[in-house]
Amino acid sequence: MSHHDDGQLPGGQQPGGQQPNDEHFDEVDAVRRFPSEDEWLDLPAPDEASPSSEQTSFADRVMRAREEEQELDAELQKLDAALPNDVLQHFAAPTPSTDFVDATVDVVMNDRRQRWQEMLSRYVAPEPSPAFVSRTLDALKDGDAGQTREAAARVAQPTAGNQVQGHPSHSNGHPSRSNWPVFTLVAAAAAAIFWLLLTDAATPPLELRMADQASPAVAYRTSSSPMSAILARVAHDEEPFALFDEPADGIWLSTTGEIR
Amino acid sequence: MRFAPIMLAALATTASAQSGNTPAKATTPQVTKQAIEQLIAKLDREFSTGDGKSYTAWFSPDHLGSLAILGRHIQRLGTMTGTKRTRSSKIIGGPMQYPDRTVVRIQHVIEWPGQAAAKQPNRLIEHSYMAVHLDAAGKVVPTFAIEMPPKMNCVAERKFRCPPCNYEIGGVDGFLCVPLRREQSLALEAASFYLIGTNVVCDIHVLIPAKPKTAKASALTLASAFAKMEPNAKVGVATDWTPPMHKESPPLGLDSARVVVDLPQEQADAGGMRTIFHVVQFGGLQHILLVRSTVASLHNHKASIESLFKSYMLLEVDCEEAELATRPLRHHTGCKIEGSTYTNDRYGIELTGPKGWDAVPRIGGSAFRVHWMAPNGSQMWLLGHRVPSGMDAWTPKLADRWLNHQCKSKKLEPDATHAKSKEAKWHEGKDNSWQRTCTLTPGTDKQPGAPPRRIMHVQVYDDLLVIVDGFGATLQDETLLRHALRTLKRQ
Repeated sequence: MSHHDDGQLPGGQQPGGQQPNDEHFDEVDAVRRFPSEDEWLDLPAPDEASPSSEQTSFADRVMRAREEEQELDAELQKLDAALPNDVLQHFAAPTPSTDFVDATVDVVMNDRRQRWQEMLSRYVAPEPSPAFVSRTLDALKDGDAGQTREAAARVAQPTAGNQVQGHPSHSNGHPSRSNWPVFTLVAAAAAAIFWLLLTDAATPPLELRMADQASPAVAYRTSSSPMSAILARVAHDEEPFALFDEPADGIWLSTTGEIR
Repeated sequence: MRFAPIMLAALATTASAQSGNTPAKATTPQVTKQAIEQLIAKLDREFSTGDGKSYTAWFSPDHLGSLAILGRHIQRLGTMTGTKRTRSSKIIGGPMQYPDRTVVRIQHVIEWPGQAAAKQPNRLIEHSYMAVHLDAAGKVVPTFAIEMPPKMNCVAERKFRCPPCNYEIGGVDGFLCVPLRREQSLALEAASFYLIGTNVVCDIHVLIPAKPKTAKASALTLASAFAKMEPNAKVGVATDWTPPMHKESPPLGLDSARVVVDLPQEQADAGGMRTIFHVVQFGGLQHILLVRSTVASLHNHKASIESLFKSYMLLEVDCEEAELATRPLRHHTGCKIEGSTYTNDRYGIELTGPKGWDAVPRIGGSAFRVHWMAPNGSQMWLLGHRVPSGMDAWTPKLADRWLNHQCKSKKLEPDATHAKSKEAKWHEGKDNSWQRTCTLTPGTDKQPGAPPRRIMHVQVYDDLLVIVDGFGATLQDETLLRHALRTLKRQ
C-alpha cells in the first residue's frame, strides 16, 4: 500500500473535501487501481436491453404523437367547417376606433407614470426630526459666527500672506472662496423644513383629506368614513365611463353660491 | 375650504386633550340630562350665530376626523340657511352611559326664512349623537358629535343586524353604533362603530362585488385605492384572516383576508395612523370591516377591538343558497333582473335593455343602479336618485343643475345641433314626469378612450330622478340603446 492509500476517499477525493491536485497525480497508482482482466470480467454487466428499448419506445412515441396530432387537426378542421360564419364573425375582433392608438398610448403612459410614482413614493426620505432641525439651525448660527470672525480677520490682513495669529487662513495664499452661497442654500433648506414641520401640525385629519377628494356637489363629501372615497375610487377604476352614479348633495343643490 | 385652516388650528390646540390613547375609566361621575340640555342650548346659539370653526371650538375632541367633518357640515348648513337661521334641539335618546362619557341622541330643528312669498320658514330636521364628559373643573364638555340618519334600520341595542345582508355585529361595551346614509357610504348599507372616549373606529360596509375576486385581491384593491389617495400610505401584504366566530369551523365557501395600511407620518407621536381592511366574502356578498386609529390606540384598546370582531358573525352559513346575494339587493334596492329586463318593485320602475346585452346590478350611493353591457363594449346604465337630504323634491331645474355639473366634471358637452330638437327640451311625459333626452359629446379635453357620443335620457319625478345613459360602439347599437330607453316606465 502506497502512502496515497492512507486516508484517501473513493474517487480520489482528499480528506476535508479537497480535490486532488494535478501536480500530485500518481499515474502508477492510477494504473494499479484500474481493474485487472479477471476483475473486469467480475464487474456487473450493463443493462443491455435499455438502450435499444429506449430507442424503440422513442420512435413509437414520436410516431404516435404525430398521428394523434394529425387526428386532432382533422377533428378541428371538421369543427371549423361545421361552425356557421355568423358565429365566427361574432368572435371577430371589433374594428379599432380612430383614436385607439392614441388612447392606448395615453393609458399606458398614465399607468407607467402612476406605477413609477407609486414605486418612488416608497423611497421618500422620512421627515427630519425637530432635534435635527434645531441642530441644523444651531450649526448655522455657529457657522455665521465663524464667518463673521473670518471676515474680520480678512479685514485685518489686507495683503495675502499676512496671517493673524490664532486664525490661520484657509486660502494658503490663494484668493479665498466664499461659502455664503452654500450657507444660503442650507439656510433656505432648513427654513423650508421648519416651515413644513410647522404646517404639518395643521394637516387636516385623514377623514377630511379623503372627503376633500370628492366634488363639493356629491353627498359623500361629508361622510365621516374614508371608505366612501375609497369605494368611489374603486368604482371609477372599474367603470371609468359611468356617469351620474355619485349621489347629489342636498346642501350643494340648494345653494347657488360657492360651497365647499 | 375657507374655514379649514383656522378650524384645524383650533382642533390642533385641543388635540393634546385627545383621550384616544388613554383607556377610559368607568368611575367618572355621570353627567345629568339637565346639564347636557344646557350645553345643547349653548350649542344651538353657537350654531345660529357662529360658524363651523366656532362650533367645533366648544369640543375637546375624542376623534379629530369626525369633528372636522361635523365642522364642515355645520359650515355648509350655515351657507345654506343664511344669517337669520335658528336651531332648536332636544334629547330624544339617552343619556347612555359609557366609560368616562355620556352619550345622547339629539334632534335638531333648523329654521331659516323662505322666499318672500313663502309664509312658512324653511325647515330641516337632523339627528345626531353627542358624547360629553366632565372636565377637571366639573364643566360639561362635548367630546364627540356625529350627524346620523333620522331613521335607523337594523340597529337595536347597539347592535347592527341585517338578516338579508346575512350578518350581525356590535352590542359590545364601549362601542356606539352610528348607521351611515347610503348616499354617503356608497354601499348597500353601512355603519361605524366608535369606541367612545377614544379615536378607535370600525366601519362596516356591505357590497356586492361587480367582478368575482378573491378576498385577498379585494382587500388589496381597496388598500391600493386608498394608497393612491394617500401617497404616504404603506400598503402591507394581504394575509389570511378568518372572523373569530367562524375560525373553528369556517363555513364552506367563506373567503376572508385582511391587509394593513400604515400612515407613519400621521400622528407620529402615537406610532402613526393605521387602517386595517378586513374583507369577508360569502355567498356573493362582501362585508368590509375597516379599523382605523393610531397604532398606540389600537394597542391600548386591543381587547375592545377583539370583542367587537368576536361579535361579527354570518347569520346563515349555507352558501349553496343561490338567493343569498339577490336577497339584500331586493331588500335594500327593490332590484330584480330577468333576462335583459330590469324591474324595481319599490319604485315601480321597469326597463328592457337591448337584447344580448348583459344586465348586472351595481351597488353605490344611488337608490338603484343597473349596468348593461354588450359583447362589443356598448354600455347602458339605469340609475335612480332619491331626493337628496335637505331637499323637498326633485325639479327639472335641480336636475339640470346636477346633470350639468356632472357633465362638466366629466368633460362632456351637449351636442349643439341635437340640443335644438324637441326631445332635448323638457316636456311632460304621460306619467306626469318631466323628461328630456340629450346627446352628449366629449369636449376638447377628451378622456382617453371615451366614446365619441353618449345618449342621456332623464325623467324627473318629485321623489325620484331617473337617468338612462349609455353609448353604442356601433350605430346599430346606438339605435338599440335609443329603443331601450323608450321602454322605461314607472307605474
